Amino acid sequence: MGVFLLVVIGSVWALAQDSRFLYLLVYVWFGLAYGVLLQYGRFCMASAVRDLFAVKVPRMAVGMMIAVALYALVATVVTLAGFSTFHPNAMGWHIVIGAAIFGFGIVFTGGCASGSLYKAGEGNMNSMLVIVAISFSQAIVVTASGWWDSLVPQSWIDSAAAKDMPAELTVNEGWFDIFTAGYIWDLKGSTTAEAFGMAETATGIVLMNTMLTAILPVAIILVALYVFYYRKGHLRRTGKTAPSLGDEIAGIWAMCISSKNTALAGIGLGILAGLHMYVTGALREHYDIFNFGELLVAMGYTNGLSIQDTVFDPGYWYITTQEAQWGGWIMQQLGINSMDSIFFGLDNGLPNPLLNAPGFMSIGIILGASVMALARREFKWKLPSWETAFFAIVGGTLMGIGARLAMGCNIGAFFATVTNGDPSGWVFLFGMVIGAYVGVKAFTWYMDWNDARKGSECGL
Amino acid sequence: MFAKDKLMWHATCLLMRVAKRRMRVQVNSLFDRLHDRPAGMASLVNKDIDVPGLGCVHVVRSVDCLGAMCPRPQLLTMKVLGEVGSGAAIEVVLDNPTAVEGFPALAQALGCTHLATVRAPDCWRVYLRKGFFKAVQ
Repeated sequence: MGVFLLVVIGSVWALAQDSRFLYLLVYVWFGLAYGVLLQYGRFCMASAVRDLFAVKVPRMAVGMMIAVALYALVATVVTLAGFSTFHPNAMGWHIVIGAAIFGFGIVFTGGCASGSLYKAGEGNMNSMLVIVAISFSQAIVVTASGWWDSLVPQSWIDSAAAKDMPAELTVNEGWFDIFTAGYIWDLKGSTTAEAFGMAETATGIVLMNTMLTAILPVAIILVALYVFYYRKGHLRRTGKTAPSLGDEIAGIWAMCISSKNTALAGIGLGILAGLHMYVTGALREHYDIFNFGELLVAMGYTNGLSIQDTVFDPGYWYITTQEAQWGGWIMQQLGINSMDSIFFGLDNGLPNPLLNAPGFMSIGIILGASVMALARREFKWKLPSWETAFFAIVGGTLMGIGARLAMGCNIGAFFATVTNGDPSGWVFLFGMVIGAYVGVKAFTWYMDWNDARKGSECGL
Repeated sequence: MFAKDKLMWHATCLLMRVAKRRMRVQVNSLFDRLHDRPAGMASLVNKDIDVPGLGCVHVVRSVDCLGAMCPRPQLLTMKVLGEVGSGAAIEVVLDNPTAVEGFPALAQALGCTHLATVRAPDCWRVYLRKGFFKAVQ
């Protein structure tokens, strides 16, 4: 309750400074609501893919699919109303590779990017370490040059050089700059409706984006989960040997509601994520801006903006880029010039964390989760052991690298994309599943090896 | 203007005081936990435990997952269930809410019956029985 009051007082104070901070507060309050729901449903997208392989439990994968379906439906309404803030991601091999690295990492950290935020809100210090690792690994990946530059092929370097970028960005230095300008910018990304030239029509948005790109795959995945993971146990429990179609549908329904908290949270998250786009889109219209950077300039804050006077401002649920900005900002304060990269210098800026709107969404998730955890008496400081701390840092670093290569995490590159008609999100999920599969194998192997090593000490 | 600032100041002071008291309790428990031990151990026990709503349950193994991150609790439970005989009951001690939430579904997948999840002051105790049994009231 105290945490909640603190946010209320902070909000009132910010509004008293300048009413235009309302734009930033929208992120804070949606973040808070995401945090409350994530903790309520013990929503864990990492376990959605991991548990399928580790213990063959589909519970969380089902919860995630419910959230995708609901978000897609609300997103349709928001898009039809003309308030969509969504931009499709570039489609390419980088998504599969980045997502696989990300998926491998989440097995060792015990949570995805948002998962780590809400678990940090429950007092889990491992998750706090994960956030630190994600922040810095991303900031380092996007600004690194030197030997890193030998990783990229000459064709990308040529292509990047041909882009005529401002000299202060030094596009020919920094492998991530070359990757962005020389590879990503040459790729196309579009929603399914755009690909069929129907982006402006209601039929295109409803049929192509919502039905074909979100609802249909969700339905297929739910049926597949039922057939492969749930059907056998369900039939044994109900004592049916020759099930009719009605029994099968009842089985799918039972699977969907087998964990009520998770299903409810999935519904809530889906609706909220859609509403978030609506509110931000409407506010942009109200202030007549495209990006929070313009509002910051109008309010007199010009430090840390990109050379286009923009900051990172997705307008929907996003996690990893703002964490990269935290890491990058600290590096900048320590005297490491990070603004000569495309990622920070041209696109996202490096605003002071106190003015970082999406950053406050992440903080909101932590605070929202701690409100809920305290209210349910589930809050507990959990210290890492050396072993889990090591996993948190290594796994978090891998997640950071993967998220940057794939242009987002399981929220920004999967959840927000497939629900807005961009099929690249399914490619991300595919990559993440591969990574998680390998990760589970590696983790099981490690546990066996560790047991064998310690076996004599424990007497087991 | 002045009155508003003053009100803010009082509200902040009040919050700080509450927060301080909370922190003291939390920090104490933090230092109790600093005596680190490896998270995730299965120990052989043979004890009768009075589970609320179930009566007496004879537990043959207790899996200590305090402080463990997923998927360790799940994998450890799987391993221990593989070592006990059918019909035997085990106890899993957890402090990870996300893992607790998943245990009923996990039980189904691992071929055992979820008997009960008991909320203890600092953790949860989950009771599982290997094999499928009719749910006990």
